[in-house]
Amino acid sequence: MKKSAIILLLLVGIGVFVVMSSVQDASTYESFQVAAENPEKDYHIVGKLVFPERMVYDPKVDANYFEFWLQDQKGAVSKVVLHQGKPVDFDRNAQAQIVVVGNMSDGFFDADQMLTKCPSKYEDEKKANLKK
Amino acid sequence: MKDISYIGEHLWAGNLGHFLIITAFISAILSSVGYFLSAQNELKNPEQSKSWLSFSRKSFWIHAISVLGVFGMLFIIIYFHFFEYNYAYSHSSTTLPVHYIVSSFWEGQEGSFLLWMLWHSVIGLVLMYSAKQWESRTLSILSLIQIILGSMLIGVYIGELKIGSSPFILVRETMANAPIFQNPNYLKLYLTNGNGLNPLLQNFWMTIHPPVLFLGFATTAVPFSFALASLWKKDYQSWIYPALPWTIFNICILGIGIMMGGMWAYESLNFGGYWAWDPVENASLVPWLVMVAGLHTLIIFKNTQKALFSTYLLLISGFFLILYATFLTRSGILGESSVHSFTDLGLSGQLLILLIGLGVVGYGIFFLRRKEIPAKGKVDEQIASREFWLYTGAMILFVSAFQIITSTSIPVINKVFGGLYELLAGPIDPKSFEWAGDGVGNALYKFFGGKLAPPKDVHAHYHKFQIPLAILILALTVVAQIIKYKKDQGGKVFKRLYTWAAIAIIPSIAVFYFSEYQANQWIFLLYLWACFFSILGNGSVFVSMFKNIKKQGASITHIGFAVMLFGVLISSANKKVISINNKYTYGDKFQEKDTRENLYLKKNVSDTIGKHIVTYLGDTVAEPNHYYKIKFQNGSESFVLQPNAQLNPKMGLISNPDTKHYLHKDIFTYVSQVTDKSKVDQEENQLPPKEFLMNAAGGDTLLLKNNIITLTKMEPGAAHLSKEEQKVLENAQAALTANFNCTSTEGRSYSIKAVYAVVDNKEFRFDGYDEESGLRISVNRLNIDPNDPTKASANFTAFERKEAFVDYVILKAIEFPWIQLVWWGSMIMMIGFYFSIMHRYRETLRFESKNE
Repeated sequence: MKKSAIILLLLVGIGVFVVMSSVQDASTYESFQVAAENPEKDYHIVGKLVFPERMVYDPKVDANYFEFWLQDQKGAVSKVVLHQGKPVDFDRNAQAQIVVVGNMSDGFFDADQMLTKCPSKYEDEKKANLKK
Repeated sequence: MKDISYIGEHLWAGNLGHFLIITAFISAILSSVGYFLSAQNELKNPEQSKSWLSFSRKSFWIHAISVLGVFGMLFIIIYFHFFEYNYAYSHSSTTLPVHYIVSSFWEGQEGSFLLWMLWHSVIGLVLMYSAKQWESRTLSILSLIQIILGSMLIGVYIGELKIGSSPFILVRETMANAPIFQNPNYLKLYLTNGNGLNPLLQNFWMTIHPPVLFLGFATTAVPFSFALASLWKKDYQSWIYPALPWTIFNICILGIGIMMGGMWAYESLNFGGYWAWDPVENASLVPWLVMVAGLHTLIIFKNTQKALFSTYLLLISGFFLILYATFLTRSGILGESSVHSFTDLGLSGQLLILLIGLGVVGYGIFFLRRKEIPAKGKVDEQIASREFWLYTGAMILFVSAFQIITSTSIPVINKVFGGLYELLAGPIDPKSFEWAGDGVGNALYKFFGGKLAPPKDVHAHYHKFQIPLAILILALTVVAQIIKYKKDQGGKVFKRLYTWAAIAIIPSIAVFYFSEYQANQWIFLLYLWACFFSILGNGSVFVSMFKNIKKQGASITHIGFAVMLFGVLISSANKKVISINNKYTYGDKFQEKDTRENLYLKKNVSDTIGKHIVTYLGDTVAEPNHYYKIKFQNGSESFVLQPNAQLNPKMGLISNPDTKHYLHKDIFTYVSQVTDKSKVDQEENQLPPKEFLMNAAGGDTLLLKNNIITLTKMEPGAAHLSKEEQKVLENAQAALTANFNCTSTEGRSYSIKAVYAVVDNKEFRFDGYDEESGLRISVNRLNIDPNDPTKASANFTAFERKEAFVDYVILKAIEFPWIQLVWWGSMIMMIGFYFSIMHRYRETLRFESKNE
């Protein structure tokens, strides 16, 4: 076999390996229900903040405990506990999508990461005002 | 509604701007076609070719001037606050400082496309006067790119189909039904100010990062154009001379752009670092890696006539990936996987068509010529030759790029494969792939179910691939520099390699030992070794060839690269959150996930962060920024950091970090929560006012909810007031100050002075206020007993907060060791690039003068 063929084969092999292991590493977007069925697994859950008045974050008591309620895309609602400070931009982004990463624990979703997508809320709000 | 004639609009600006967009678009078409015809007639009909050439040059000049004009008009609209235009309204405001006006220019998608086009125009003019025999073909291709970018801005409708989005749309056109536009004078009445620039972008780096990054994007088109031009002309040799310096220039500028993005993230965002493997960052890193690979194969070809095939593919792919990056970031497809957000202008379909279109042109020309591309042997003929190792390095860079783009494209994979499965086999559920076993079945389910989410630990995922690849690349920078072209070399050369490889072991073990790696991660040791091997090996090349420093671009760049990667490793592997809260325990359930990385700091109460005793000293306000003074004390050394935050009514808290730079480390801090003092005294936080009567002679005490107050005495005068306030009381008939001694329930003592005065028979009151407790006391009236003037009393009102006010911040502090090396390394790389560009440019000039 020619050396170039070996190199080519090697590259293709690496390519396949890279794709396979990316898929392997990739987390899954799921609903609270699936997360509850597999409490040992970590999931990405996309949702919306509900019951904003039930949000718990009192830095005087604990700066690393943040609790809120999230409704996933299928409509199921669960309490989410995040063991970090409340993100700086949470209030700003809470109306857009929230993605929490973690697993279901006793009666709440135990999140160790949260992504809030910056929405164009900043623009929309002003426009909404104009429409009034 | 049509008949309303609006007052005060500056329609000329938008009309002119839009006219210029159309002109730019049409002149780009003329120029592209003209240059095409000029190229096609080059041999057959030189006369005609010449006349097409001069026609196209004029067209391109018109194009460039029009683009500049559009740029200018948009700038005028923003600068003079023409808020009837959506762009000015959405991205700027009257309160915006002038230096951020430019930032609002490129906050929007239209502005950044325009910037990109402007750079292409400038580059086109440079090529027009420097590319000589390549002018017609490269500019025909560049004009084609301009047509495509321009189509994103023309903003015309063909039936229902929207083509492009014009930056000159009026606000009233974007929401035609809003009632305010029934009023002809709406502009003066309602649109008096714009929406302002996103506070996150009000930052020095945001004014300069986009122009540099887009110059990087734009210059990627030059090697692409030269590659296609050479395939088109079937001249496979001489194009590399002009293409080489352009390629290095491109890599240099794109690299600076990427680094500036990192700088911006580090200096002004609070995710704690300069690189987050975010899709938007990855999308510009990937073309850079591919262009670096392309540069190395280009050099192989120049020296050995090998690897031309790969060179074409890499240079075409580099530009294609820039377009792909644009598609990823501008189409909204990244959705929830990126923290960056771009407004989706509803042009993702158009973007996709353009991406595929230019892809077809680029790869298509290559495909047509694939059999004619000369190949003088394979690079792997001699394993101990420079070209073999350069080629291997280029391929590793390519693999690295491939891995990053694959993971970044997860949302695209979801769209394509998720949709495909559903189309062919119906809805998917977790049991669809049970037959394939747990692991594979689960992977297949994610892949075809459109449910792939980014890896949970993004850093670990990328590092798993990129760290081993980086080790190989670093080692190859030495091997390929020391081994010579074309010959199998033994003995001496290898001895030199082994020697440096052996010497590098010493410092790497030393650093490994002294740094704070917790685990015995041998891969870091290997990485450290690769960094030192690269620095030492390239350093030895640099020293041995010092006399010929002009040609030393490569060794300088590689040293910089190694220093940078060394800094990256040390600063990220040893990055440590030092604001650890040890006060709270939550029970066993939370042990693992309990990160405790935020510290609650009450004003004037110290806590410890690492080796430092930290105290929050209070804040100062320079609207819109609140600076929170945090004192760090470590023995005799002390410094104050001032992370700041904006309490934006629309966006909540916007936090900006502050960093203490040492030579060997940075201490990076930001606040994530603060007391919003403006809210503290709002009505809902106040108790009902309490009225009370006290003897003016003093001695009466009153117990309030959070404070105990005692009137010491009331006395004439108001000496504690400011000069301005005293002026009011200049001709007062009477002025009395009531002095209160107060104690809060927390035990803090303070005093409050409230003034009551009569001027021209009118009552004046200057209430006493204590900021920390929020207690305010007002004198209502004086009661003087007409029978006994010494027996006076006064009625007061106390305003108290429901709860005692606590001034605090939530602080996060991260230590980054040796992060300076990242910036220094980048700087050294840029110096190296400068030497390389000059060296290759001189070569080009020599080549051209030889051929004339």
